[in-house]
Amino acid sequence: MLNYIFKRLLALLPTIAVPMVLLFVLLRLTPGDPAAVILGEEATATDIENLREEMGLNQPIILQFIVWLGRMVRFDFGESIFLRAPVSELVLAAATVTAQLAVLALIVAVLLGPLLGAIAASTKSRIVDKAMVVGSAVGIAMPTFWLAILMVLVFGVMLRWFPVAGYVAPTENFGQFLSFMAMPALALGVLEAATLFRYSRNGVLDAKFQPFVTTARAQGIGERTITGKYVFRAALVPVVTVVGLSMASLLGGAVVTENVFSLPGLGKLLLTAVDRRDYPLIEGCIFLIAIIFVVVNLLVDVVCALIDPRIRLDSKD
Amino acid sequence: MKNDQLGAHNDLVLELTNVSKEFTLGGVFKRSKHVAVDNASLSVKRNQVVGLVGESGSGKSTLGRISIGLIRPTSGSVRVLGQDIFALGKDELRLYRRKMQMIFQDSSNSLNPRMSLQELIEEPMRVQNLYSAGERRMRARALADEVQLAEGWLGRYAHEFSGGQRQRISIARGLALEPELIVADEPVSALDVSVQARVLNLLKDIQESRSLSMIFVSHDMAVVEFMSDQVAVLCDGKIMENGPAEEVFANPKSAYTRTLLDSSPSL
Amino acid sequence: MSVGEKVLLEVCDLNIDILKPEGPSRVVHSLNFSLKAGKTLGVVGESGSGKSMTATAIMGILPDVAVASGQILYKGQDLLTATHAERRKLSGSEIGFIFQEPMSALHPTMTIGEQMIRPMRMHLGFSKKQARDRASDLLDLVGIPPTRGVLGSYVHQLSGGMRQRVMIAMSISCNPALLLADEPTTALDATIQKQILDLLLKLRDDLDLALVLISHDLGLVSQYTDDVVVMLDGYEMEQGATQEVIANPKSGYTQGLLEAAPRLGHQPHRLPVIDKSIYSKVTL
Repeated sequence: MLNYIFKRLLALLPTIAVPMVLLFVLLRLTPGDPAAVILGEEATATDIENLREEMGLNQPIILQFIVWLGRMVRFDFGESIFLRAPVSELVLAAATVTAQLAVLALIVAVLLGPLLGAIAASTKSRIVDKAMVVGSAVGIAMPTFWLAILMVLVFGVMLRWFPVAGYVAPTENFGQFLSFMAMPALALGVLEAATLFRYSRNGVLDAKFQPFVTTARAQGIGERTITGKYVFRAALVPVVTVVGLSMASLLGGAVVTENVFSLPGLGKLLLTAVDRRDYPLIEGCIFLIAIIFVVVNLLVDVVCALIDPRIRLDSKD
Repeated sequence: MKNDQLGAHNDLVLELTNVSKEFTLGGVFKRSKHVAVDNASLSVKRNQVVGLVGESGSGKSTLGRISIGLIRPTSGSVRVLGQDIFALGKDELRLYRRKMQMIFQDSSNSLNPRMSLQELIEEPMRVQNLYSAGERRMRARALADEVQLAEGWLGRYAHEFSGGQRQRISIARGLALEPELIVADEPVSALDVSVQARVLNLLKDIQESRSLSMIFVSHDMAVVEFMSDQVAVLCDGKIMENGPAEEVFANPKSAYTRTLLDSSPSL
Repeated sequence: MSVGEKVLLEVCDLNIDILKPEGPSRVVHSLNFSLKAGKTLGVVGESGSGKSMTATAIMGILPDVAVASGQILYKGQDLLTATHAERRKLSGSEIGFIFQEPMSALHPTMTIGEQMIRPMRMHLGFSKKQARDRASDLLDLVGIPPTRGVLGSYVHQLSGGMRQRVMIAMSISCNPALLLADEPTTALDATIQKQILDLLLKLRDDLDLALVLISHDLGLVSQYTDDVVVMLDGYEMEQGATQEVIANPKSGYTQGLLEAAPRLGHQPHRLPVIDKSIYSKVTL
């Protein structure tokens, strides 16, 4: 197992390197001169030229790339052009907020999705099942920002249950932290729950008609135990995989959600950085997001192997 | 040079010499080798049926596939009509495949569900660019008749046929290119007894009327005895015993053959 | 029936219907047979004969779309009118079932031990330790020594023969009196098949079980059963003492089955062919 994890970690390097190189190329292809953006509309041509020189933007692209590569290898992301602070500090601070949001949303999704999925698959009432399936279809189809704005409108503006926007660190005031986080986490989590619901429902429905269920029945095991122990355990594997995948879409959704709710997270930081052509900051954000993706994928694989003995990690390379 | 060999091997349709096949299992770090076929030699004459019998994992299916060039052996030579088929180039081998065809166990999976019976039988000829469209149609009809599928069924699709009928379709497809060697891999094991008897009879009829050479792969001793002139018994990739069917079944020399015979339930 | 020997299982006028949108379709027609302790009954037929349906009806595991009517008397109790709870009490502890494909009939992500222990704790009231010990003994009984560590392994880690042995050990774990085996060896090699069937017969004798052996193979049934029922398209073709039926089949269909299968040592030019439609009572 440890051997496997080590091997996987080695395999991660290209998974992170490829998007980073892609990012380098894409950023240089994007229209808009960062020097001009930074200096604003009143800047003179010489000011811009001086800043370009300072940022090394006048060097040939190959040379820029080599310099860039050297920094990447040393995990040196430099300073944010705009915020004038080390990228690593900015990114880590923002990542903490995003992680809090993602974890809360994931809790919402994992509590709601599989539970409702299991209920829909087990219920004898066709109407209940159909209603839940339709509901999940709506959830999957609904864009994150739309639900977020709707929630701001209903719970924030009309009902005034939760603050509309902002952030308080949990170390400062945990109750306030929760009240600020409730809406973003729900907005993000409910939509993820819709996806999890579908997989859980299908997984349970599939497992329900497997021969091993008939075997359990032939042993006189009660229906409740059969559903609780035999069916759910078999249905668990695909659901865990999807939970891992939803981490990815959670991060994507976080970019939007954080902007709607003004949370100082990675998504908001990334969007600001892109807006201002803050190359080092963009690179720092993407690097961290890539790392999170890859590590989450690895975790999912390990967890899958733990709950499904048929997946033998050692045999893969 | 080729002609010399053809002369010398006139009567030999298939000649396997010291054929071995190893499969490598596992990844980069933990590799293990599995010997599927171990130094097997075998020959099939014109108009002869050779039975390959053994239990699962004995290598009988692998040896059958090697015989018609579907699997490349690790070592040894495979000659079909005197030609070493693995010495042929890719395109040459493709053309040479006409002479050797395979009938699989699970025909329902190997038949394209979107094709009618007519198209299914024509397909091998079309793939090999043989005959005109009109002639292919004629030949398909004749083949359907040969495997006792009614002319009125030519427009039907695979799922409309029963298991036994689908196996007949596979046989017709196998015959479409007028092969000289047929490898039938467990062609009747998925069939009911009553259907199995018909398909076995049909295979025998066709083999005799066309003077085909055939390798008949099966786990069923009784079925192999019924079909074969010559029998090779396989265990763990090795040929334990090889001889005329009457001798092998009446006086098995190998203890393993005796175990197999004792284990098969019989009336 | 001789005095003193009690009939364990009696199937009377059993009908099984599959409910379809266009109406019920009958797959088993007024079937009758009975079985005593210590005896083996073979139910033989080709696909679609209704033999497996019959076994699943006795076990009470018919699919939802199938309905059985008539009587299935087990120790005098009609299983078809029994409540759900009554049936559950019998399942496993009185009647055991051996499936054709142990690979799919055993849970993929549960250890063999866990699957074996649960029914014993439920039916026999065993503690975890007791159940585990008995599971180990049972595996030993079916030819898997405890040193193999099978209790802690998963079904995919076992060979086909081992899986079926586990299945058998499981089916007898709660001391059933009746064992239903649905094509228990069809997926296995001939040498393993013989071992498994010999094991079943030995267990039948040692534990005084009644055994129902469902099979498509008349040759196999002839060697391992006392009585036989031959079925075609849901109808009984004939039944009787196995040796009698094999020696003097009354039904032309049985005769046909006997002749159509190639036999070792018999080398006919062509195999005799059965025309099933002559014997089938199903009108199309």
